Amino acid sequence: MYDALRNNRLVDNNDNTICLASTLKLYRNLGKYPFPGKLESDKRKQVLSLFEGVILKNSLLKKPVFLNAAELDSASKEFLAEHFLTTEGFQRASTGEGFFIDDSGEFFAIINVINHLQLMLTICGGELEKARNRLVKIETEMGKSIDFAFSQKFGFLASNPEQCGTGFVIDVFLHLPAMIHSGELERFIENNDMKGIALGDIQGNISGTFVGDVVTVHNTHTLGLTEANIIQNVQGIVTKLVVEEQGMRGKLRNDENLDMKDMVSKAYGILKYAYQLQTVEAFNSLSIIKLGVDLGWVENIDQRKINSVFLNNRRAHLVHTYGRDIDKEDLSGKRAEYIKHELESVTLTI
Amino acid sequence: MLYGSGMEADKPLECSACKKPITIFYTEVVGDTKTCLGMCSDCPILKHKLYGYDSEEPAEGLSSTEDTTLCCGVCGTSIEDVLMGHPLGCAECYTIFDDVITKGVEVDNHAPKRVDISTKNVSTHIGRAPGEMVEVSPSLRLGILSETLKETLSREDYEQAAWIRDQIKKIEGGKSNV
Repeated sequence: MYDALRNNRLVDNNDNTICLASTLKLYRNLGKYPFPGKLESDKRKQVLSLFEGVILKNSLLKKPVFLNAAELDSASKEFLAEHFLTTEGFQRASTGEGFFIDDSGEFFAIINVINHLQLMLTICGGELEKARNRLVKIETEMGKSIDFAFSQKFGFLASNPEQCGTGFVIDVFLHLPAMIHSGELERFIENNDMKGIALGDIQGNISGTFVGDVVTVHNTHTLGLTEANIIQNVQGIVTKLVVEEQGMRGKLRNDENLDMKDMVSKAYGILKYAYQLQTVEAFNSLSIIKLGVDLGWVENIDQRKINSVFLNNRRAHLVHTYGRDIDKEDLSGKRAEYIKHELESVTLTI
Repeated sequence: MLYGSGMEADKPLECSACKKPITIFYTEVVGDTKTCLGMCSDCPILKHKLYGYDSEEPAEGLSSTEDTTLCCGVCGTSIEDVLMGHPLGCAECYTIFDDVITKGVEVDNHAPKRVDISTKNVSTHIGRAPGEMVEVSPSLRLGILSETLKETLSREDYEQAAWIRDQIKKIEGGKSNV
């Protein structure tokens, strides 16, 4: 499994200063079978083999492979969730459930978890329209062989009625440290029409707390809109957020903001000299260093590298990097070791 | 024609939809065809027949704590499951629980107000149907950026405006940061 994804770690090639990644999802079900929550074991297997036939033959995919959930250990499932930045949990996926990936490292399909099919693309950068077109082409190709549940009134029928209609959900992962630490994000939410849009954390949770200053922008409406409307709504808010963040960073750079310089220096100290780092502490410190790189206050590392370290210190990627299971007690130590090694040549200019 | 409970002793004792005790018999005559249904007083089918979808009455089950047990005949999903936000069990659930889902979407504000989904038989899905392929153009982003550029220039933030112009050029050249 890892070969297809190891060679295509999405974040390793991302030099974007603000947009970390985007995910585009289509929720689909088959009309002839009960939805997964009511699907008996033998029919679950039938659905799985139906999709196996359709997806593995899909000419728009690059060497697609099937991963049987029953044969994957929890670390592998977690690796998939981390790689594709999925906000849905499928840790308990087992017999009759599975996944498809391909050599692009961007394509992901989840079978029989909540819906019969969750078709997904994860991309780095902001090409939502192209990615949507690609995803819909893959779906349309599949639709030549299977019938998706559909009604004139509710559109494509999802297990969760809130996701019927287009069944299309976009998540854009933005890094907004300047807005968050200056309080501008709250002002932005108050002053902008956020109808149909929600801001969550890196896990998609709407808690108002953003670990690593990562904000996910996603659409809450899927019915009564076209996919183009959804892209336009999400892209509208994303563009405004990026422009605001860019503006705030410009101010920090020009004003040589002392508070932010202090934060960057402290984050540098933590990452360079800590022996143990928990996920949240690592994320928050790396966020500030990533901002420092963009402001020109941190040298000898580029955005691509810091983006890679930022997302690859998560547990399953760390386990994969070290090539063996890491005890829970050793995890924070290994994380500190990994980050220290990756940031070895980094220096401060402030 | 509507009869009160107990008026016809030989009628079935359970609601034909939800297995609750029958309190109402509903007889409908259309042309030469006569149909007779036994229903409980909470029956959403009765509400549909009496008021249709244009009724000002709140959707069954959404407004109260009334104990209803309407179930999907295909998968067994109950109206309580739907009201509690559990996943639907099959495609047929969308027909059986049509009004509850419609009202739920409205109440939860998941559909924009400009889309009227309260009227019966109005197609509320306005996107693609299966098999349709409609390309989306990247010009969507250009429109959004142009709008943002105007806004930025109106507040005389020329540094931001220059950055946005760069992004527009990058999109036109095929590479962008937004």
